[in-house]
Formats: sequence, C-alpha cells, structure tokens
Amino acid sequence: MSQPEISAAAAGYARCGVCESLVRWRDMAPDSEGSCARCGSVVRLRRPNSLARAWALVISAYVMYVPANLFAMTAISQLGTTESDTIFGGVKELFAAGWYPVAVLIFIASITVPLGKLLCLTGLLISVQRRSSWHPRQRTVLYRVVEQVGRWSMLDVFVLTLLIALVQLGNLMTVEVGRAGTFFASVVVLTILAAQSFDPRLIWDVMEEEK
Amino acid sequence: MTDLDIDPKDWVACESCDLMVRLPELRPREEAECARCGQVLERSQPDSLRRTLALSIASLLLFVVAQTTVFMSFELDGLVQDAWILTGIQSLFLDGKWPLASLIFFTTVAAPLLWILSLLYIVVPLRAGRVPPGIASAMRFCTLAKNWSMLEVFLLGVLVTYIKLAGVAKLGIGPGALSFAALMLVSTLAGLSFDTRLVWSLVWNRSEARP
Repeated sequence: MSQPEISAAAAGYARCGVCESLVRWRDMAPDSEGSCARCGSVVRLRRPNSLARAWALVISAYVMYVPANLFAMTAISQLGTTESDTIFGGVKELFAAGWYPVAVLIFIASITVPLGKLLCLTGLLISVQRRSSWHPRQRTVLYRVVEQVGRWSMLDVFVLTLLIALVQLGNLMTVEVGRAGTFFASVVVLTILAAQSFDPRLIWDVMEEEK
Repeated sequence: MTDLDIDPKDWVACESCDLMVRLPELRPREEAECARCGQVLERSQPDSLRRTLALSIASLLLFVVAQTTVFMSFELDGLVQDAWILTGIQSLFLDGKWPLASLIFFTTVAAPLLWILSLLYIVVPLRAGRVPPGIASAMRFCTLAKNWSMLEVFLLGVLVTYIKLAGVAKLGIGPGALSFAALMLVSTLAGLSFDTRLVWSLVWNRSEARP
C-alpha cells in the first residue's frame, strides 16, 4: 500500500467536523479547542468528554427504560370500557390477533432496537475504557449500525399519533397515549444523543498507541 | 510523532477511525471507502448542484401539500374522521403531553422543513456562483436537521396504522399521505445528490479567487 497507515492525530492533524479539512494540531493539548483555518468552525481532536457524556446519557436511558415498559403505552376506550396496554402487552396482543408482520415489526422497533442499542453502547463504552484491542473494525461497524438504526424506535410513537388523529369518534372509540409514551420517547432521544456523543475514533486510538 | 511531509489539502481523515487517506479521483457514482474501518469517505455525485436544487424545490412543494391536505380518513358506522399530520400532534398537545407532541412535531414537520430550506439556502447561491453568508453554520445546521428528520420512519408508521385499522373501519388514503410518500422519496434523493465536498471546493475556489 502506498499510503502509510497512520491516524491524523498521530500525524499532527485534527479533522474539522464541518468542512473536513485537516487542521494543524502540533503542540496543542489533546483536549484544547482550535479553529479551522478554512471554514472558521471550532475544531477538536476528539468529541469533547466523549466517554463521560455517553455514559451519562446511556445511564439516563436505562433509568427511563423502566417506566417506559412498566406504564401503559396505549389506552383504548370503546363504549365506556378502557383497555390499557404496555409496550410488551401491545406486541403480545398483535401476535395473538395473528398480525405477524406488524407484530414482528413493532417488536423489533420498540423492544429489540432500544434495548439492543443500549447494550451495544454499554459494550462499546466498556471496551474503550478497558483499552481493548478486540476487533476494532467490527466494533466500528457496530457503532455505525447503532447510530443509524436508533431512529426506527420512533415507529410505535408515530403509529400512536396517527391512531389518535384517526380514531376520535366521541363516545364510540378513542385512543390515548399512556404515561409510558413520554418515557419511551425520552429513551429514544437519549440513546440517539448518546450515540452522537460517543467518538468511534477512541476505539482506534488505543491501537495507535500500542505501535 | 511521525513527521509527514504532506499537503493537508490532498488528504482527509476518516471520520470513524481517523486514518489519513489520500482520496483518489473518483469517476461518477464511485465510492471511496476507508481501508481500515470501511467508512464511506466520499461518493461522487454527477451534476450534484443542479439535481439537489431541483429535488429540494420539489421536496418543498410536496411538503406543503403533505401538511395542508387530508392525510387519511377513517369511517366507522357512518361517522367520518379526516386527519392531517398535525391533528394527532395537536390532540397530544391538548392532552397535556407536550414533550411528546413537540418531539413528534420536530421530527416529522420542523426538522424536514428546516433541512429542505437549508439545502436551498446553500445550493441556490452556489448555482449562481456566489457563496451564501455563514456557509459553515448553514452546513452544520443542514446535517443536524437531516439527522433529526424522520420522514421514512413516519411513513412506515402510516403503513402499520393502515394495516391495523383496515380490518376495523373503512380507511381512506388522502392526497396528504400520497404526497408525503413522494416527499420521503424525493427528499432522500436530494440528500443523496448533495455532495458536501463539492460544496466546500466551490466555496474555497470562490474565496481564494477574490482579491
């Protein structure tokens, strides 16, 4: 290979996150702030306080995850009787009704994705803190998947919004969002923010130092 | 530290693993991938500005139609309920669930609109050979708005809602839902044809040519 395998940081450059130019970073502290000579944006070598921020957001998301699953997500009133369902209960009901494709979809979006995302982020954070050199490429790919898949958890919330808009027939039938709705949405937002705070370059920094 | 005798203008750092890469000249629709972690570094887009401009204008028009015309209608025992995208958000607001309502409003209405507008703000002057003021902030804003816009998730939500309610009542798909589907498609294409590296090279050519 004609190109040397070296990171920009080791070569004395920081990457501008806005215009992607390389900014000279010789004789600068790793956590200091520079400015991009070409576009004027603030430049940092790595995302600031990446691990602490990501941990704080991941832990908050775990905390919110509990009420999101204990409280009712939906309340459907029909002719005077109200039926409440948690997220898991809703999925079970869909399976019982035989709507397998929809049930699987909601199960993936509302249960697998948020929980899987939290567990993956936790694993990534621990691996970076333990300065692991285990499969860095696979961990980077995992991070990219986690970052892109998180938005799909909003599926159930959007379905509820549409149901609320459509099913408003006075005393006949109404749909309402239960208390879990806000908690669940906050899990989604917190995990998206956590993924954005984590800096995948930290996975590779350890490899560089070992050389 | 290794001292590399390089011109930083010829090199980029991979955003996922910080590897220094010298980008090759790409033929139209070719992709450059990071050799170390597989991150896509650049995707060459033919005719980028003209396509992005056309697709963003189309997106803006579709957005207006999707938000202002009837999205779906629901008929049960002779009672008909028309729903717009904003109907569900509004009921959530009135129900006191304003954090949830704001999040849904932000991800399905505000962020997509701001994203399309920021694309236009960047592309229209560049097409005329001028650099829009505050280009760095505009580019940052554009990425941010794009990340929080969840049109594709909402569209899947529409599909799930349709399947869920189709057995219960008579459902109508309004012009709003159709233009929303088109909006998702067209705006995704606009995002794909938007070439940030091209934007920055145009900006720098302009500012360096200026006396």
